[in-house]
Formats: sequence, C-alpha cells, structure tokens
Amino acid sequence: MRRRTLTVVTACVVLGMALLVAFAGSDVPVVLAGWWRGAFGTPYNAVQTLSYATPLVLVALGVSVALRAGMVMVGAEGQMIVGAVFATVVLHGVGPVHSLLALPLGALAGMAGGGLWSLLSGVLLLRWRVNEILSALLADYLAIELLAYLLRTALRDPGGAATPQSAPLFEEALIPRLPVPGRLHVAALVVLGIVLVALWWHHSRIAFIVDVHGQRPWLAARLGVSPASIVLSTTAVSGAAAGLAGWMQLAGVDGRLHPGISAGIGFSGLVVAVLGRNHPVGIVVAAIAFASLTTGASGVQIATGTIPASIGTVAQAVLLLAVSVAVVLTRRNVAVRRAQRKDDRAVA
Amino acid sequence: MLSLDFWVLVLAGALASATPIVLAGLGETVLQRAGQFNLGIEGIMICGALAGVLGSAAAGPFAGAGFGVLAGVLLGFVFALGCLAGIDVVLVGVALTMLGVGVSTFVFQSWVPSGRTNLSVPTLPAMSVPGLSQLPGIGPLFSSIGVLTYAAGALAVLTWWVLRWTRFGLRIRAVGDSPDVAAVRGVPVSRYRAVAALIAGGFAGLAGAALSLSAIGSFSPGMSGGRGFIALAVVVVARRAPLGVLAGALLFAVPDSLGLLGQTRDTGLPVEALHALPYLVTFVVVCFESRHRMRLRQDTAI
Repeated sequence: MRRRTLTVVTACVVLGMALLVAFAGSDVPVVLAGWWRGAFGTPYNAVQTLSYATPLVLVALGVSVALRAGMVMVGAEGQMIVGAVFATVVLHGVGPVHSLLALPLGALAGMAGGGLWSLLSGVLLLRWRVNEILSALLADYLAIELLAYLLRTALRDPGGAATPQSAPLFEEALIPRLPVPGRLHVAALVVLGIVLVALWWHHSRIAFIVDVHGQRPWLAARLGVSPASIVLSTTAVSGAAAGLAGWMQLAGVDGRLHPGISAGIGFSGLVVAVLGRNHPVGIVVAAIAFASLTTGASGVQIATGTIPASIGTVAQAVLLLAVSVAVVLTRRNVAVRRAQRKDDRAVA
Repeated sequence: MLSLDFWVLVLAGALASATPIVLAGLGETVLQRAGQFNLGIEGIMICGALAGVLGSAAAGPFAGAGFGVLAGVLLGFVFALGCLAGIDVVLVGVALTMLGVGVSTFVFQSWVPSGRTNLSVPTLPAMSVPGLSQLPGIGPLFSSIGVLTYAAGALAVLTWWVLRWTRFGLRIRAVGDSPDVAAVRGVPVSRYRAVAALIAGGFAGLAGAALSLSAIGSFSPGMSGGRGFIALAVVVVARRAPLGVLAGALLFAVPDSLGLLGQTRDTGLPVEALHALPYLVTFVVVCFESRHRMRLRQDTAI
C-alpha cells in the first residue's frame, strides 16, 4: 500500500512536469537543452548560477541549525531585509571609510539586524509558546512594510529617483568582485569558509546536544542544557546567517537598498536546507541545483520562446516533493533492512 | 474622530476582505480538527484565483467559482498524496505554496504573455439585504454584499453543524484528537485525513476565486498577498471553531479595510503603517492567544 502510494506520487510529479511542457507547446529535449545552457552552458551563466547559490547556502546553513533544534524557520526573508537595512543605516552613517573597516562593519551590522529580528520569534516561542512558523510569517510582512517605509522616507535616495531605493553605497563598502565573468563577489569565498566551519560543527558536541534537544527536549534538559539557551542561540545563529546574506546581496550584488533585496532567497533557503538534509555538503549541492533551476529557467524561456521563466519555480517545488519522497523511501529501506538483520540475529 | 459614514464604509470593505479568509479558514479548521496542518493554503488560494478567472472567462462567474473549487481540490489531493507518502506535513505545505505560486504564474504568463493587456472577466454579483439596506445611517453597509460573503457565512454554520452533529464530523474530530483510538475503533484514519485535505483544498480554492471574482475580475501573480498565511493564524486565534473563524477573520479584515480607506484621507500615519496594521493586529492577537493557552495548560497541570 505504502509502496504504491509512493509510485503514484512519483508518477504524478513526472506527469505534471510533462503536462506543463506540453501545455506550453514544446518538447522536453529542447527544454532540457535550454535549461543546461541557461544554468551552466557559458562561463558567465555558470558564474551567475554560483552567484545565486551563494546566499542560498548561507541562509540554508543557518536554517539547518534551527531545524536540528526542532524549529522551522520561515522568517529568513524578513531577517535578510532587516539585516540589509541595518547594514545600510550603519554604512551610510559612518560615511566613506577604508574598506578594511567598511566591510566587517557592514557584515556585523547585517548579522546584528538579522539576529535581532529572528529573536522576536525565538523569545515569543520561549515566553508564550507562540508558534514560530506563524510569528515568523507575520514578521516577514512587517519587515517588508518597514523596508518600504524607510525607502520612502529616511533612507530614500536624495538623488531623487522615482523608484524607491536608497542612495548607492560608497565605493569602499562594496564587496570586490572575483576576476570572473559574472557577478560573483569575494564574500563567496567567506561562505565557502563558513561551509568548512559548519562541517566541523556538524560533528561537534554542541551539534549533538542541539540534535538531542530537537528530538527529546527533556533529555537535553537532563544533560544540563536549558531549552532557553538552545532556542535562543540557534534562532540567533540562523537569523545572523540570513542577515549576513542580506548584507552580501546589498554590498556584493545590488550596491544599494531596494524593495527586492531579499528576492525570495529566505524562503528558498529553508527549502535548500531540507533538500540538503541539514548537511553542509548536501546544502551546497542542493543550493547549486536549486539556483540552476532559476538561471536555467531563463535559458528555457530563450530556447523555447513560449515557456515562461516561472517554470523554474514549478520545477523547484517538484524537486522538493521528489527529494522528500526519495528520502522517505530510503529511510524506509534502511529501517526494513535493520529489522531483518535483527530477525536474523534472533534466529541465529 | 471620523464620521459614521466612514465607519460604515470600513465595515463594508471589511466584509469583502474577510470573505476569502473565512472560506480558507473554514477548510483549514476541518483539516486541523483531523489532526493536520496545511502551510500551503497560500499556494492553493492563488491557483484558485487564477482558475476562477479562467472559468469566468469561459463560462461565466459562477462556473469560475466552481473552477476555483476544482483547482483547490486538485491541490488538496497533492497535499493528501504527499502526507500519505509519509513526507513531513510542513514540507508538503512549503512545497504546495511554491507549486501553487509557480503553476499559477506559469499558466497566467502562457495565457497572457507579458506586454498584452490583462483580461478582465465578469465578476460575481452582489445583493442587498432587503429591509436592512433601507435603514438610515448604516443602510449602505447592507446595500451590496457579494454572493460569496453570504456563502461564507452559510458555510461557517454548515461546517459547525457538520463537525458538531454528524457522524462524519465526529469521526473527523476523533481522527484528530486520538488517531490510535480512532483506528482501533475501526475509523480509517488516513482516509478521513485525505478527505479533510480535499475539503480544505476546495475551500481554499473557493477563497481564491473570491479574491479574483468578487470585485476585480482579473488575476495578477501575488494577488493573495499572504492571506493564506493569515487564514492559518485566524484558525489558531479562533481555537479551531468554525464560528470563531468568522470573528477572527474580521480581526484581520477591519484593519485591512481601514488601511485601504485610510489612504484616501489624512490620518497622520504613513501608508506603510496602514498596510502593516492587519498583520500587526493578527500578530499581537496570536501572541495573546498563545499566552492564554499556555496559562490554561499550566493551570490544568497543577
């Protein structure tokens, strides 16, 4: 019965994608070739894919820490926005300083903004057991309105463009680009460093305790770890990561604050964390795959002329469903094999 | 501070704004009573909104509403399948939100390529309440209420009745409260949960149609604006009671309507504060409700 359900789900997923392609009047090989060209076909496109993947990795690493503690963080979108706002305010506040000062300052401000905004959900969860999914979703909308307000008033570009945006950051505050075609900045290497740190952390004692808390909070309390410390620290870490990603988008890609600064990266970061199974290497692979669906979708649009780029979002949702099904399948196989081994031993 | 006419206008706007939230909230109530939780309502709603416009363009507004329900049931089926396959409920919800946003944008952009003007389709009619609409002062409140607003009120009572007084409702509640006991008593748990998911999908689809067919008569990507998430919050505030959803939806809708109308006058507040008002009010009430529930639990524990 279970096996049949899974087959049905997989069949539906494949059929759904094929139907969409057919609906738009195109063939599958053309679509796939367009996707490959858009995502990896030229050096520029490949770098663009990596550039999309960079903030996803960062957000997902943060979300995965909270996920291990048993909290679903859907607030990264708002945390990115507040992080970028903090960074803008601080950088515009200090004025042109040397980049050795401006870059860390922006990064710290972003992390502080994201961390503080995430603590809103963390504290409410701890104090009144407010569902963290609901509070974070609502906080996202508050952050969006806050950004719109600041861009219309205090942070508005005095240069007077009609579109709501801040004045451009000064030259020294911008993250230098890597010498490659495309918009990949030096901070991508910092993200790589963070991935290495996360790899170490993944097997550390603290990560183990966070896992214990996520699965059996009372057991963690027995080990002498208060729930408050775990909830607040993991929330703050995930918020700080999202805020840092916000600063990277601001100082590395866009150069100024504007309404689309978070661009759905926060929500996608959660999906990437799940796709990567909370493992740093898995997250990097998942982020590149996920980003390739966004960049590849433009390639599909160009190649076919009829399929809109929004097929990328559909493919991302389908990817999430398919991987979730695959995870359930493997987990079940492992469980069955373990049970069989136990039976064998019992017989022997 | 402001005249009676203004508040009558605000309330009339609130009734229209509450309709999709009540509809989506009722479906979610049934699903949560069955022990599940759909984070994907937002995605179902936006698909329902598009299906409503497509249906209305093809065969009139009532067919459009039917199309919305159909689209919702279809996505509810995806939700049920995902849960049956053993995927985490939150994950299925997130995937459904992405799927709904992606598919609706995809179909819309294939149907109306960018650069062409957006189609507008016939909308659902509005009716006045006989008698009440002649009242002095508050009459305009009852002079033109959309059919789906009436339907939402009726469906709230129907949902309450079904959950409270029918065998089906009893079983739904049993499946949610104690699935093990229900299974032992011979209630097929996953089948009832699947049916609840289909019902929740249908309601969310109708909510989407209410969004696109009540006044505007056209679709734009992102038009649901987080209302699916608000519906989730409203169900929490309403403590999963169908009639409570009616009151809870007004909690979001009155500030929403006030924010919209406030922009036309000088209130001394920035526009963004008015936009944020409904989310802020919902946020605060969710916090107080959680605190209340926590204290209740502590009291019973002692």
